[in-house]
Amino acid sequence: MQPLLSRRGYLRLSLGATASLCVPRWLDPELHARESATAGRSLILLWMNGGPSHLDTWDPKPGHPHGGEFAAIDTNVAGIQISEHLPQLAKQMHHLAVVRSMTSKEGSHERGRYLLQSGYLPMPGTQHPALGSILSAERGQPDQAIPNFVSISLPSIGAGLLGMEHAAFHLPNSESPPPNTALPGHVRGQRFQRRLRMLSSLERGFINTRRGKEATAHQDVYQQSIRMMRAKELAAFDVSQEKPQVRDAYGRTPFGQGCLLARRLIENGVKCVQVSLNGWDTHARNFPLTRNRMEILDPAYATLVQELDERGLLDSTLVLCLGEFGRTPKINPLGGRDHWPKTWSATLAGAGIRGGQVVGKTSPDGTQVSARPVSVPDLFVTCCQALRIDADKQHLTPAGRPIRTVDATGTPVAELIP
Amino acid sequence: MQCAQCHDHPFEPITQEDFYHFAAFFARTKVQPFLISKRVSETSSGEMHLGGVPTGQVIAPRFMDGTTPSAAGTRRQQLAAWITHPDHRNFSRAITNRVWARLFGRGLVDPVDDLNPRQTPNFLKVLDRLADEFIYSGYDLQYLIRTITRTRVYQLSSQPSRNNRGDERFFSKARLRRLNPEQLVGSVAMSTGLASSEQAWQNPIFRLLLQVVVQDFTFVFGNMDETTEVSEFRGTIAQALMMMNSKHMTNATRFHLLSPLTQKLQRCRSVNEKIELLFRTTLSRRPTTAELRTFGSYFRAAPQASQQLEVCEDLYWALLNCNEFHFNY
Repeated sequence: MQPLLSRRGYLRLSLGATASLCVPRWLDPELHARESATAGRSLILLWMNGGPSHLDTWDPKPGHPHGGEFAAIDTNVAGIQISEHLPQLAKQMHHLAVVRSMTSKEGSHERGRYLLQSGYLPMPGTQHPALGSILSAERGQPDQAIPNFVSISLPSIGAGLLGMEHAAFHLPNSESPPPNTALPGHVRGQRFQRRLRMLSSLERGFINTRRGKEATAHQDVYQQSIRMMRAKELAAFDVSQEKPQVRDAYGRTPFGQGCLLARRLIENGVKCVQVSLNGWDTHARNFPLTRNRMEILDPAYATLVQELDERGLLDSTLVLCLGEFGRTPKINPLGGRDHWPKTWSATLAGAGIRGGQVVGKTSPDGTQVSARPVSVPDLFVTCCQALRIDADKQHLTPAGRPIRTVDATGTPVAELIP
Repeated sequence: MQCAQCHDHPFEPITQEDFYHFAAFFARTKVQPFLISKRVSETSSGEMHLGGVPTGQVIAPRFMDGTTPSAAGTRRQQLAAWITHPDHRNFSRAITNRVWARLFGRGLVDPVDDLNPRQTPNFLKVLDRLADEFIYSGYDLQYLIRTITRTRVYQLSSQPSRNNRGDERFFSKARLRRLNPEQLVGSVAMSTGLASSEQAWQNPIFRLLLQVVVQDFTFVFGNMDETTEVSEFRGTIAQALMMMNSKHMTNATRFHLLSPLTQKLQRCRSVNEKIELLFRTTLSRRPTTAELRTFGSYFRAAPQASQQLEVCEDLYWALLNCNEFHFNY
């Protein structure tokens, strides 16, 4: 006889048991109180695809040859300067924390994207989940009519070992309805009713032949999907319901409207929204291209933070803005900047993050971290703290290897969360 | 084996060096794009370094049993000769187990890559018997599949008896297996009648068109690599929405006059024949008497010819979306 538990199964079981043996969560009053008070924390990830030049955005070096063409301007926080092309964000600086000493080693887009969306380097045999998928699994409402994680414009990296049900629902275009939620034109109300009645007879018929739980699970997923098609919350996906002035404030760009949509979705219970702005990969003509990106980013990001604050949502929503890496401080002969993971900047706001501060510092030429290096796991542990999710929780890969929510090397950046 | 890429294996006697000795067989392998596919070749130089980094110590090719290659040929040829040598049972066992797992949803050895001596002895006997047949056939996969599918255990029903309701691992009943994106798209294409002939599947244009659809589905269904166990693959809302409302499915479920299925439906002489045709083309079975009664009532409520075609479309849509169609059972 095969032992009743395989080795991997044993590992799975024993880890689960350890977790549940150390004081059940509902028996720990402090934890319970904290959890119910903050059950509503959510995340907006502004994903700067391609890797923005940190020296041209959040970490200006005026006067140094690496500094480039742009001037630095004062913000509403004394002593903090950012690029002249982020004037509206300069007025929201009291909400923002800029980490100028981010440092990593991954200089390829694909691997950098994986690293900055999951917190881990790609590893054979393991698919790490995106932070949004973790939030969906830990804090999402399973019975919610709309998805717990939505990714606007570019897709997210996936839910990996957490399973497809925690993968981001992908919305390619912020101004079109979610894919496949509208009935085809020729299937009017009555006909769809008839289809559903027929489907229901067939599903019940198969379930009644005693085929096990998967046959029933199939029916459940269909019922959830039909509920989503009919949900009044689906209106949250329609940014045209906003006043024209509000839409203008975000900027009439796909990214601007995506940020507005992110605010609407968070208001309707979505736990994580990723909005991507592509085009930061400026190997040539860095300055006109980066300036153009900033002109799109500035009104969208600034209005998002301002509106979340006005609506009382900023305390419970973490807004994180970053890309795969920074760009070379030295300007190349094509007027471009290449990949530079050694130093770069990330910005955070909301969910208890102390705004109006800069964390860390790069050298005058921008090539080295000169104070307070922050690793990717450090940043992710801090985000977990802000989102009130357990960074030490162990998840199991299909092969039975335990994986923490965040790599054990991460230590929280105390300056960010007082 | 994957574990040993970064460190010694935690449970098996496989060291990190073993991994790179094995990887060294591929140190000279080049994969280059070729037309729409890829071409694999081998160069005459190139070495494997410990840890896969150029600063690591050079590691020579060595087989998993500790012997070193002596035969002529490229490194990959040497490895292939060693792996497929009849004395080395693990190759035929592994292939047999993987084919078994494909057909049953679970390997005789589970997880499929965990071929170790601690596995259930009775299952190992079955595995070895089949692996012997596989070697004897000259490594003929079709022969192996034919043999397995002719066994009584393969032909068991997925309906449980009073005694084996909870069994997930002793093959006392068939387990439900969800179709993967390729199988699902292929099954829909088959059911439309467009792809029911051998010629259609050999037509490169048809295959290319199908590939586009498969890619859309794969994106929504997620890539299922070899580490994804079929039982862990669950349905999602995005998948259900795609099956119900996507343009691919809407196209497939509209009965244009030229579609082979429409032409067959128009030749049907009775409502029952239509229902039977739709059941057979999707679920590969006849409808039960109760089903004929249930679905017949929709036709009787819509007597005009155009209405009847709509009822056919609706029933076809429901059949393509129902649990029975989405599972191999």
